Amino acid sequence: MDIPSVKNSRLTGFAVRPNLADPGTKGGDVRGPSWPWASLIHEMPGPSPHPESPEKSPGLYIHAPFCVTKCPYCAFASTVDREGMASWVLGIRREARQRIDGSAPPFGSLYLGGGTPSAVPLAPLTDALSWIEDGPGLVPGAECTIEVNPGDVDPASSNAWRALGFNRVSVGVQAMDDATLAFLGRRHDVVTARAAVQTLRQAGFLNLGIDLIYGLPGQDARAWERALQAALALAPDHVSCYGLTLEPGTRFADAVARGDMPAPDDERVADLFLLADHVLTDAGYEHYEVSNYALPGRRARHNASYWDGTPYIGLGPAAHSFRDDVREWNAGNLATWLDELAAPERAPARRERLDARQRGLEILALGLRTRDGIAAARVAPGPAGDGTLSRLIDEGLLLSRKSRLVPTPRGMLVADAMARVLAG
Amino acid sequence: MQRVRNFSIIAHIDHGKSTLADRLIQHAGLVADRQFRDQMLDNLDIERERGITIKSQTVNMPYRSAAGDEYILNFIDTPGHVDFTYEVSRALASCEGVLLVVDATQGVQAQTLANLYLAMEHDLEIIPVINKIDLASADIDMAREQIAQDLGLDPDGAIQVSAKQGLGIDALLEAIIARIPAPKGNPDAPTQALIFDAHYDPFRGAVVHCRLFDGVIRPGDTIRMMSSGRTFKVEEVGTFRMVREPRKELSAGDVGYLIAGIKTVADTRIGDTITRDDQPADKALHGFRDAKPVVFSSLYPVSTDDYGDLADALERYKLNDAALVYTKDSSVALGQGFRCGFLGLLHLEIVQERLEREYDQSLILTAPSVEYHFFLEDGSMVVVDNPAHYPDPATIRRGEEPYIRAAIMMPDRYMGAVMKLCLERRGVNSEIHYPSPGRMELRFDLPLGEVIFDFYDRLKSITQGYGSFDYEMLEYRDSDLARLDILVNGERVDALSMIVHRERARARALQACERLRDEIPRQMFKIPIQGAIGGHIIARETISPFRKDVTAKCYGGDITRKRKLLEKQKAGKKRMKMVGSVEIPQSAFIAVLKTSDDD
Repeated sequence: MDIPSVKNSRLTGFAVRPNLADPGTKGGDVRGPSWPWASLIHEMPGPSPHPESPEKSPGLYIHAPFCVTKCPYCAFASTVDREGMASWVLGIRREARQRIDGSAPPFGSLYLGGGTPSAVPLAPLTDALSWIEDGPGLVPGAECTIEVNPGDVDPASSNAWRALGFNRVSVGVQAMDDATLAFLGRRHDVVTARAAVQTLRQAGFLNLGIDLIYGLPGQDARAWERALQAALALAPDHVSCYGLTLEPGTRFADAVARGDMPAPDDERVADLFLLADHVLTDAGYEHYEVSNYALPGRRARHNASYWDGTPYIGLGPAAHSFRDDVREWNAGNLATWLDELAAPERAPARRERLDARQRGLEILALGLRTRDGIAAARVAPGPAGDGTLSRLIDEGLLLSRKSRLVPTPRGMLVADAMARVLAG
Repeated sequence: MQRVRNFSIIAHIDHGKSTLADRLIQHAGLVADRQFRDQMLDNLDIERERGITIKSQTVNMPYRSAAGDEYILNFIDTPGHVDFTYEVSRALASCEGVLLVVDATQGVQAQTLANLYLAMEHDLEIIPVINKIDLASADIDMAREQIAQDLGLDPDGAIQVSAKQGLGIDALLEAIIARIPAPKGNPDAPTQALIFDAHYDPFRGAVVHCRLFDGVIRPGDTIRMMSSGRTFKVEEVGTFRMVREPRKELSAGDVGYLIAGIKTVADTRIGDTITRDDQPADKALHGFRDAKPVVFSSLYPVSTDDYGDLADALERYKLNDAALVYTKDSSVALGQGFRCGFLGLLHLEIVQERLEREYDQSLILTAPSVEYHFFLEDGSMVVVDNPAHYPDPATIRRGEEPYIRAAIMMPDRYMGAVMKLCLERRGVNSEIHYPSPGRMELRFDLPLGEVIFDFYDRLKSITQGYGSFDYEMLEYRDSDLARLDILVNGERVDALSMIVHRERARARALQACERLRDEIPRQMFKIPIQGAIGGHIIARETISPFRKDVTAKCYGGDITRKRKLLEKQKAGKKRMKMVGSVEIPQSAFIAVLKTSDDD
């Protein structure tokens, strides 16, 4: 694999600092000289700490709310108005100053999501991130992910992202045939997606994930299996398969409400879910969360922090934070978010402190989404005693593994229902 | 007394009884036109919605005749349902005449005929009234012909009106004073007053509606209820002019009310005779019958925490409904509740609806039951109206259940279907009459237990509303009875048990299982629903599990949204009853009792 050196990247006009966290590519020579902990960095993320353990380093999420177009299924906070990009950069820096003090520990992961982060030009992108290394920095081996749209990928941008320190990329492939991509309102085609994956690999992204959407109108098992096989041909390290969800306010939701589009059918979606489990597991991927599959060692560590109780700080519109049983969230609208940053105090409506019961329900609901499951002791005495728990085990929805309860693939499909009954 | 006329209006449902009554009231000037609310008399929500009269009302209307004489017209409204046949008969017994309303667009209907018989039984003067003559679809000639042919009445005596437009009302009022006889009676004879209704006033207690046949009643008199011998001191007498209007006395021939410090309406019995304690009548008026509950069901609050509220609501409700009886009951599945006795299924529904609407209760009802008699090996007999008290089968020598003599009137084209329904419900001793060409009356002995289970709904459905149904109680008869249990996920749900005839057990079990299958939400695993007698399974349905209940993703770490959704879903389940590990919604308990059109 030909990996270009970041030293020659075209990030002119910016205080280009070496990688935030160099993945230590095969070439071995891409680490920036000023990178203080370069020698400590491992390419592979270290072993995942035990779920529910509190000592993991906090994750950092940054939301880039810009999209070129708005997809008909997406309810993520995004704007097609790119005018606000400069103010977004200032906002991110301001919010970072407000929320992250000098004594903060280094982050264990970075995730730049959106929106479409790959649509943000390099200059503002760099400015939105450079405060990190001036401040708490990242722990050695930190996973740094950027979400990219296949259409935004070219060798220059790929190299630049690498140079910024990203060592993991999540590619919004979404589908493996052009008709479906058009239906989903995507700007790219399959050829572009394939080329993007190759370009990113060539730029040195050894940890690459792709997103797929299933459960689309008319998509049968054969079509979904073809898509999965085509996706596997891209040799991703990580695959996210999201069942189409009708989010209120999206064009798909409106179309279904009007009767112009059939509502997703749970039975069919369940079949497709199990098909993906079968195909991807056969191909060596671990089905480690409801919608996520990874090759060994390639679980998405930042996303895992949402499920395993690791604290995280979210910056940018609509970003969420969690620490010490407190959840906070930002206004989804860019202008509102900026206004609120300027206000002396955080709006109390965007904050909640979880009581033990609420946190308990979360731990069940989130843990049951994952292959790691939940501690058996978390199950309320009622369901444990009245036969509900043993019934779930007998039905093949849960496995009892030492002191943990682990969902089977069929169990993951009913994780919410299990959480409700097991919370008592 | 010569200037008093006491009358009722009887009509098939929707033939315009309430509208006609309204028009008469308006004509009497009792209500200013602009205050007039449609259907003044049907003042319960349920009555307005269903277009039926449940609590009867009485109105005293002044009328100046065309000849210039002042009259008093007492209109006594009647409830329009078979459950209240007895109340109707007492109201009619208080009148000298009736207006028999025929809809000019629909002609004579089965219920018109049944009402005619009722009126004839009481020797009342009958004035046929052809209503809705203003409608384009009105066929007055057809109505006249049917009045002659089907009712055997003189069509020339029929008054043509449009109650809605107020047409023909003057002629009708003149016919009332000309044709309905003045009441007879002797004000100097010992007092005899017939109680035909009562209602509860929160400040004054029971307000007794009565018709005086002989004698007088004045405030200060001590009256005696002839059935119980209880005495009360009269505080006030008067007449109804939309509101109570006190008077110095009620005298023979009058219709009015009395207030006598009677705490609840349960202390007054419809059909009872009131006399004066100091100068009592020799005997009561004919026809008193104790209102006896025939249908029993348990009421439970949806949330067990609301038991206290339900107890309060029942106590308050009971003040105004003498016919309802109740005692405490309890169930493993539903917690603490009340076993209630009702006059019939409609009465049960009315009590349920009023408790829910007016007293804000959320209720679960169990399958209605009759009183069964079980003769045990030790020679004793137990009366059981609650499946929970079904005796140990090993100790039962034999069982008995109450029978009724049903009279069903309908156009003869429905005979086959109605016959089939009656036979299916174990009817015997059928008899057929043809009171007039094209119409028939079918009589059957039927177990009451079969009738209270959706019989009336089925009858209405198969006769497209043309079938009318009346019954009288017969004796208890031998019956091969068993307790049918319903098991959900292998566990018996005590509140769903019912006592059934063995022959009908399988059909009832299948129906219950199907209804539950449709009402209980799918869960994560298969739920078997079984009907069983003893340990023997006689019916089975299965609720297949749902396979997906998980959100695809937690948007950008937004766990709050997810947790709130879960909390909301969990809260939704609070309205459900947990039986073992299965959630049963309130609607499932109700659905088991409901009829459907496809069975």
